[in-house]
Amino acid sequence: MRRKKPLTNPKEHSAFMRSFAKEVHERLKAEQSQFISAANVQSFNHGIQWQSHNSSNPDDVSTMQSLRNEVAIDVSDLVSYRISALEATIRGLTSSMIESFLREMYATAGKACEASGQSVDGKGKSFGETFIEILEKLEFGVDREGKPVMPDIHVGPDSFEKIKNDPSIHSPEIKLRIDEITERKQREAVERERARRGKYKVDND
Amino acid sequence: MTDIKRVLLCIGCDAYESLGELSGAQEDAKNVYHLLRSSDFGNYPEATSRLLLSPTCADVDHALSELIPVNEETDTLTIFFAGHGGVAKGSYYLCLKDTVAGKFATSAYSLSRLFEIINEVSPSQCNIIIDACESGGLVSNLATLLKPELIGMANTSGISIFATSAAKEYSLDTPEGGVGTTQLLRVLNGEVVVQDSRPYLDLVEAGRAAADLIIGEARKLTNSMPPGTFTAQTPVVWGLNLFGQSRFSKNPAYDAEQRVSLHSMVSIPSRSQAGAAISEASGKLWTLLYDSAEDLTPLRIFNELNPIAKKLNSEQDVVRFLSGVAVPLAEKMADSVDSFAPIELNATFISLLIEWCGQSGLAEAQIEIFTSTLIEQLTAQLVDVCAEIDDFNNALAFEGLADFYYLPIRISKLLGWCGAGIFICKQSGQNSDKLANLMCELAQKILDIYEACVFIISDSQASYILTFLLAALKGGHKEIGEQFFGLYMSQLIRDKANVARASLEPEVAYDFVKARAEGSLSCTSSMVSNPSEVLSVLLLMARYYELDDVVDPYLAEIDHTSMVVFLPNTHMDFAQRVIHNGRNHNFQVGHGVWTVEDFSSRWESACEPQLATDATLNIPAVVVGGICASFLFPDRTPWFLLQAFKEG
Repeated sequence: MRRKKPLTNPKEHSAFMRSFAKEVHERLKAEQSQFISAANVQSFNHGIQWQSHNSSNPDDVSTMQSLRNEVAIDVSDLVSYRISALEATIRGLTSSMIESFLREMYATAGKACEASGQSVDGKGKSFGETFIEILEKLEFGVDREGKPVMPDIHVGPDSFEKIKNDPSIHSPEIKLRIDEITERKQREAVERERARRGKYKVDND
Repeated sequence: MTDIKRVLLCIGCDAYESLGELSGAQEDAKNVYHLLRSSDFGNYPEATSRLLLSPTCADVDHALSELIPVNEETDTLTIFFAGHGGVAKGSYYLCLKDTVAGKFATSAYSLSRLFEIINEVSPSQCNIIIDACESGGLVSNLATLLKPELIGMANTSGISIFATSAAKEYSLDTPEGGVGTTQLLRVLNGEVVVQDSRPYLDLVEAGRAAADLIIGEARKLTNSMPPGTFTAQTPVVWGLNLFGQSRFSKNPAYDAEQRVSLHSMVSIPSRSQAGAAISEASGKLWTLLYDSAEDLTPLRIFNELNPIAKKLNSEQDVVRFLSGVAVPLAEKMADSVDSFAPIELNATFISLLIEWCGQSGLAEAQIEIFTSTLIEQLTAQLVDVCAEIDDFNNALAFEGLADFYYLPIRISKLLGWCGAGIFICKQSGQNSDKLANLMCELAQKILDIYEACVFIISDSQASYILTFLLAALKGGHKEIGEQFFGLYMSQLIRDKANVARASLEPEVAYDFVKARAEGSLSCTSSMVSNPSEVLSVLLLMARYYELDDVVDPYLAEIDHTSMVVFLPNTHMDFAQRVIHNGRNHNFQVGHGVWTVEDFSSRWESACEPQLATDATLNIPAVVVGGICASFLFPDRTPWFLLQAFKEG
């Protein structure tokens, strides 16, 4: 038999937790927007599969991954009415959710790069040379106005330190090559965009 | 009908020891007894039927204990009472021969006592008919006496009550019998037709038909009396079937040969496993009946009934349960201010049944019954809507400022229902000519009066627009369809395809309308549908209407807009709140789709083959159910109609 509890508030409890979930969702969205443009975030009502007809492999069918995170609050925080635990819980949950999300996102991107031969092995090369190789394999994009945008580079703390301080990446020769590749890639991006837009039919009337 | 126990007790009380004598109550009881005993009508067996004339309270107790031994399963218990009735201290009493005025508690038969007895024997369905005046004149209405505590005494039985006079009113009596009983008998003997789709009448539906007659007769009788002699007689009809369709009395208007036969009309035994599942949920079911018709949305009814149906775990029990619950709910929804509520109720029951199709055919047969009523109601309502617009041009705009959001949806949904009706008729072999004519008539009126409101504001319109445009094309009304297509497409392009999410919360609709008016919507807004299903509908319709050349030059203006086509693996899942097993086909304007042709060729190569693998679409009832589900829950689109369209 279920233990009886005095003066329960089931509806109020649900409403309170909905507000909590809403705040977590909003913070998560704000965090996600640093990695993914809001225009590329889509919501589906049904189905665990999707087929992206706008991708390079339009016949591939993918299955959605689900991410699970749990939150627990120490009863002693409630009993001693440590209100700071509320903010700490929201932060803890948001950060563990964003961590799971990023882990999954990088793993998916990594798999896609491996599959298409877009990975770079830095063994036996200077960091500057590796960076040039990475840049060569990248395809620059354009924004919604058709202007080229530089790619986002996501690196771990070690690589970040190297980009900042490794002498090989700051040599005049490498810098020149980076500028030349960047300019060429931007031109290519604009050209691709022009070709893409050119596929629309125009009303000659 | 031989192995189930049906019990009948008819009481008529003219003779009273301390109350005024009556003259027609015994006659009423005799008439009801003979009709319900007759094999042509009630068919209650002699062994389990009793007629008591002017009995005492002890006589009634004795008869009940004889008729319904506690350890025997009883299917239907029908009790008729004619005589004095009254209210004392919030309880309703049936007055018997030995009832003493002012001492009802000790000398009359209270409804709560009756319900306690019902609780002990737990019949699946209990019908109580009271044709009595409210002699005490103490409370406002009998319905207020039927409070949950009282019904709770009857535990889990389905109960229907028909009382021919409300409080402070007096049952009109003549030597030939009471007006209430006389009119009820006219309904039961088939003189007045209630419905012809089910072999048995439910007391709620029979009572409602009789109620209309009683009100008219009582008015006539009162008018012929000296002024102030009588007040109007307002019958109370109230009830809920928990364990399947009520078998109160045979339906004389039912022609078995013309109808799909359900294998068995036996109800679900209340003490069976399925009965236990229903009993467990009986509180929720009673709540449905207590709530106002306006609070009973299709979603709410679906969400309450679906989990119970799933627990029954047998197609036969599900059909029995839903067909039973449907009757009183239909009576209730008839009172709704929304004229489409009864239609949507039928659509809800059809949707509830689709996952049970493809087995013995029972679910399909029941869907056919609901479909027939739905088409009848839809046709009548569309006639009314057209007439109302004729009378008052602005008849479709009635929700004030909120209509800035809801009017465009209402208009497309009305047209969508026309199209849905046509497709449903086709699937169920009915003639759709009348609906097609109504669709054209309504479409023309909308173009004449509401043209400015023919646009897409929400992704929820996808189903309605697809169904209407396809039906118009199929029916040879391409010109009308083209006009609507043009209005929908041109405004969608102007809005940069920013339409509200199908499931936008009503609280946010105001914000959406404001943002749309200010031109501040973008696909990054949480209110905006991204991806959009309605844009997919329009691009495919452009192909079907051969309007590629008109649409293609405008696609650059909605560059990057994402679209989706969701197809479930099986359409038997199509009414589920969230359909897990299915595929979202994602498209993006300017990325693989630059023309209508680009989109339709991907549709043909990827979506059509997926639809073709779903064998459930070969079952007409599933198609009908799918259409209904897409109208009730507009976050899904009946793409399968394109397949049906192609196949002619």
